[in-house]
Amino acid sequence: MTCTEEYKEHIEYTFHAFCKVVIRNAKYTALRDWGRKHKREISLEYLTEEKHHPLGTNDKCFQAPEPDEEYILNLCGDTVVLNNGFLVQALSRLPIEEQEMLYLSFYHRLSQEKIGKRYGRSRSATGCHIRKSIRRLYEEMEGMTHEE
Amino acid sequence: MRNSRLLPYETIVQAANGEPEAVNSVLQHYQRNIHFSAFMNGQFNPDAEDYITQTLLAAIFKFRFTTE
Repeated sequence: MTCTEEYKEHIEYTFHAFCKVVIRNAKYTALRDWGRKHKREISLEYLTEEKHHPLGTNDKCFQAPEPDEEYILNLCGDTVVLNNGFLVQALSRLPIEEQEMLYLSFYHRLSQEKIGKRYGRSRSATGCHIRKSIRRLYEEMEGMTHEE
Repeated sequence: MRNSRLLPYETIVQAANGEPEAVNSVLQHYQRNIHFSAFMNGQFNPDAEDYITQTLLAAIFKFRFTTE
């Protein structure tokens, strides 16, 4: 291709126009993106001030559980004092044998084998019973908190 | 008579071929243009300036000399 002065000038003008168009289009793209971002962006200050959502530890989840009344249970001839009302209610719904098994395993730290011997069961059956009653306790307690 | 405010032909050819100095001179030539394009709602936005510079940088290599 012949590089005449005319051609060079033409290229100079074309390049200039090209660059200006690129800059203009990029500007509009940046403006659009920025506008979208700005529209969706909400300052945290705005949230806390306008809607009165205090960011603090006053939330229900952060509060220390208040000491409830004391509940007294009689298991295996011993007197057990419990603080959690839900736990006591859920426990009382379980059969007495399972209540006693839980009591022996969690308060007396007896091995499953010894608990099994006391009730005429094998070790694995005792473990199974304990796990089952713990699961039932969870379910009952969850149900009670939902009912509230 | 050639327009002295335009970039010389040689620089354009070198920039399109990826010569760093020529590319730099192109960016410098359009620096003011980019700067004023980066004003959004009357406020200067450095992110927009970066974005426009990047776009121009990528576009320089896409410039085609053939007009057919």
